[in-house]
Amino acid sequence: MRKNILIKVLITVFFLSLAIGALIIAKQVEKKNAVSQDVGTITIEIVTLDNKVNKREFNYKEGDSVWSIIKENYTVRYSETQTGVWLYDIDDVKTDFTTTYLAIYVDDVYSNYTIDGIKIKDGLVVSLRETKL
Amino acid sequence: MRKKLILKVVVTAILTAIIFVQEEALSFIPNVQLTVLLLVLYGAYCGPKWGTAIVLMHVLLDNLFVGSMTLYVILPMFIGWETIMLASYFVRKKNIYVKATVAGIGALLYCWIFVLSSVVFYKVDFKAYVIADIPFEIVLVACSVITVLWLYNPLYKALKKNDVYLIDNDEQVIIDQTNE
Repeated sequence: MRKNILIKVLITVFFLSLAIGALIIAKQVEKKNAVSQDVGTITIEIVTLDNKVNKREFNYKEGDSVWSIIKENYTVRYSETQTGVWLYDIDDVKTDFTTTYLAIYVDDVYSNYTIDGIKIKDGLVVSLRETKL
Repeated sequence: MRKKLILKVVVTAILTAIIFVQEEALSFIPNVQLTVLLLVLYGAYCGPKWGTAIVLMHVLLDNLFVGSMTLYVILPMFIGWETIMLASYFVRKKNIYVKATVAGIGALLYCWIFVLSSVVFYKVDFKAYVIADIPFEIVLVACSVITVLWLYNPLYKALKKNDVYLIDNDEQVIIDQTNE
């Protein structure tokens, strides 16, 4: 009787420690392999003087910004000033701020902020329109 | 005769409800469940015919509830649970350690049927799946062995007090004395 209970307890302890150990290892591996999840999508469109539109969608993660996504995915020329980032060129659209510049529209509304000041949110459409001065 | 059949149908439905509800109630902890224990119990108590009915109903209900009504899930699940139930029927007169071993091996087999199914039908990477699955296989095996070891005998005795199925021609199946 006692012997049987002892055997059962020993088997239980063995399997229980095995299971707990396995779960702890699985949790640690999961933590190690954890990748940040996409939290939303934004659209960036570049509109040239002759109204050619280059539109792209990007998934963004926690910590991304509109500016970081543009820097990562386009060829840009810019300068960092005290008032913010001034964007001159993006891919083939080149401006000089004397004859043309890149006007920023957020959800079709003219932005009073520089490109690095735009807050990212799901579904946002950022338009960079080549505009005559 | 007809009354006995109705009684069997009713008890079968109740046993199916128990297995289904406990599985859903415990589903928030991966692979911690009493399903293997209950199948081992039902195999010995109900016999292969009514046991198969319970397994079939449980598999259909579970997949209907979870939303995985595809043959690639239903088939391996049915084969896995049915094997455990049938094996337990054949070892119903053996001692509790044999039953616990059947539960452990059955649980492992159940996991591996899904490994094969996922690799063959869903083209999942075999090595990656097996490595990721090992901790959860260990949990299911541990859970099955421990629950059969401690809970099988008291539950079996409780069920046998109102024996409906009489699978051994009215003879009381020898209950392992180790738990008494």
